[in-house]
Amino acid sequence: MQTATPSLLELQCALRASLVAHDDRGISAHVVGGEIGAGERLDIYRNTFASVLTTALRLSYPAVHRLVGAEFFERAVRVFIETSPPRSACLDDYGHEFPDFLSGFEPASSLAYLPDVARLEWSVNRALHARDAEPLDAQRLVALEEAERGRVTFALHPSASLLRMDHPADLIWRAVLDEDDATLSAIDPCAGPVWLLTERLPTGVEVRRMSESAWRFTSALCEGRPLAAALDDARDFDASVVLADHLAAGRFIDFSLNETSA
Amino acid sequence: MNRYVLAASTLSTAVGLALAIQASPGQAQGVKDMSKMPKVVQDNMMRMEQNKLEKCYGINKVAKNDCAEGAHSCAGQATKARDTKSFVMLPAGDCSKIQGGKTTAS
Repeated sequence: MQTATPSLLELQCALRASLVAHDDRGISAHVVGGEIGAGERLDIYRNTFASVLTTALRLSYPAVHRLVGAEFFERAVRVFIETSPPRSACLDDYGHEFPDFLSGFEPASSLAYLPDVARLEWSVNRALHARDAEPLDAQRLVALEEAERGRVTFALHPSASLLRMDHPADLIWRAVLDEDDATLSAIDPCAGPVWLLTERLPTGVEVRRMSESAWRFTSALCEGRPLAAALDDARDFDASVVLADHLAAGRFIDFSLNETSA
Repeated sequence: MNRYVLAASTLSTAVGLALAIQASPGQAQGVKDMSKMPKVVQDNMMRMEQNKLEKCYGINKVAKNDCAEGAHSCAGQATKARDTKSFVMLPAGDCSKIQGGKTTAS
């Protein structure tokens, strides 16, 4: 019996249902059978789909992988794939929802620090793959009128992330990846919060701690708060030194003048 | 001090400092010192650099799409992958090495 020829879109949607939701009803009639049945043929695609995504996440989340063990990781990822299948054809973009998934994933709930470690790993992944960007030339700021200087806000380099974490995820991350068991056993997983900066420098990807006040000041400037307003909350540190460090490191790629008066 | 005056002077100081830092020797760039990064991150960075011209588009990307790497036969595992709802495992990796991070069934 001949069914109406489906459109490409219909076939793609049916194959997607088969891959993601294991629902073969729409697609199996259109699979050429033979010695190997349609279901088994689709299993090959399903298996490749799942194992490719599992490998992608294992590469993006190596510390999470080691913390929970290979078997747990693989099974957690299978559940994740069903709830968050890829929306981009780029595997490097896949998995940014994984930290949120982990924080709601009951079997991992005994590891309260795990979602923080995952968030840190995603920031490293982002630092690795972000586009290159020309740093802001500090000379351009010299040309500003005095009245304009209080209205300056900055655009953070696309490889950089500012993270605030309840747990010392940076210590856990590094010790796990360095296989440093002595440090691991000495870590107090509740010794937080920590304020982190992840970025790609010419020398490589770096994760470093900032003081809370310097972190808040930097976050405010990069979220569009003008300098004069950001300085209102800057009490116990030298803002010009922090700012100089960002500028010299090429951490900003542009500035703009906030129109609203601070 | 007026906050705009403060902001202006903070920015001027910062720019002066930044230019001084950038002008000082020891700022030689382009030398890759990746020793501070964990090995896994170094490996990922190297993969990324090797694949610079081959950005994205799903297939054939980095090591993420290597079918042969999988420990499972092509179709073998997916047929058994329907038990994801009955997930009763506990994490069983390096988490056991963290004090107070012990895995207990709750």
